[in-house]
Amino acid sequence: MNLQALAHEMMATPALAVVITLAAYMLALSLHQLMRYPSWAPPMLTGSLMLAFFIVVLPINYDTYYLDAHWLTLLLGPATVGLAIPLYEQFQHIKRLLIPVTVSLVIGSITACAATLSIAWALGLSPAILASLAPKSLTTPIAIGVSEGLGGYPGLTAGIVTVTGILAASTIPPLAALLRCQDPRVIGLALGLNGHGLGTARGFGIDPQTGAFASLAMGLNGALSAIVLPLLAGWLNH
Amino acid sequence: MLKGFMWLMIFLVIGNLLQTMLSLPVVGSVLGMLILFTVLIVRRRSSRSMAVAASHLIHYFTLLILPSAAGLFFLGTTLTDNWLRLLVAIVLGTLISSVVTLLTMQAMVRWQQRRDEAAGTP
Repeated sequence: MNLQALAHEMMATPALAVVITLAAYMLALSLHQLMRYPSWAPPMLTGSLMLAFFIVVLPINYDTYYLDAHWLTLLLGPATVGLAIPLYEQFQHIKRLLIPVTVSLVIGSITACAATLSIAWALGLSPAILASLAPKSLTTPIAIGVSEGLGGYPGLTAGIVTVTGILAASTIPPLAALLRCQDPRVIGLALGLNGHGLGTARGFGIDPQTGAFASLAMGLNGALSAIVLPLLAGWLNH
Repeated sequence: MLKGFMWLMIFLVIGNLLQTMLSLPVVGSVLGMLILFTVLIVRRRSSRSMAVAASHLIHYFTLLILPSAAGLFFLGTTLTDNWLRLLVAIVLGTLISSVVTLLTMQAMVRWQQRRDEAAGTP
């Protein structure tokens, strides 16, 4: 029996898909630890590269793999619903700054989406790619959900979101210094709104208050954009 | 843990039902999150059992997203034909929105401080 036939047999159950996903994840975590947690190489990036490598060498068809991996991705549903809990808990702490946070959030999330989409549109990218780009600043599970709803490519969105997060996490602290913003609440909000989970991790690396504002901005931006983006897209398509 | 998990799944089912019945362009999980957030705000307290289940699941987000994320490398020409333009849009868009967010929040925090000070003086 050759390797291809063997791989085909193995894919008759979802077990192999689950094993290679877990292996890629754990290898990525070890690598991240070994490299002392670099913000430019998050486990999402190295893990997806390793997973793609496993899929190619085995060799398995990506679509078959993705169907089998449903055994794991099914849990993304309740996990995304669960984001409401930390969002609610963070929400309790900002009541005093409700107006600044709300105004910055609305202006920031409109800019994050509009600036990118208008540049992409001017460069002549297709509607499906624009749909994949629109949720680029949102936390990955919400971004994938929004992208699917708008007719984008979920895989492309996951990649775009990761690149955006790395970029925001590495450029916002120097940008803030350049613009003379020292307030941890300002830097935190910018990190979470533009760089979702990766920006939030960077924020907690600076100080707890920056991290708390980042995680709040990430959650509120996700909730707001999940409502606004599909409505806007529906309106534009009419 | 199991009780919280069941409740998260119930909100997911409600989200899925709403999406199908109203044919909304948002997936059920995101709708479920929005509904749960609204419920928590209305009843003014969090749920211990759901908090436990959610923190376990959120801890493994990267793992749960990996299968979709690996799809990036199987997009073929969609990626190879467009990656440079995509990168330009991402880099410029992110820089613009980062500067706008920093300046807006900075101005708004100062505005709030002035308002608080004005309210504090008799």
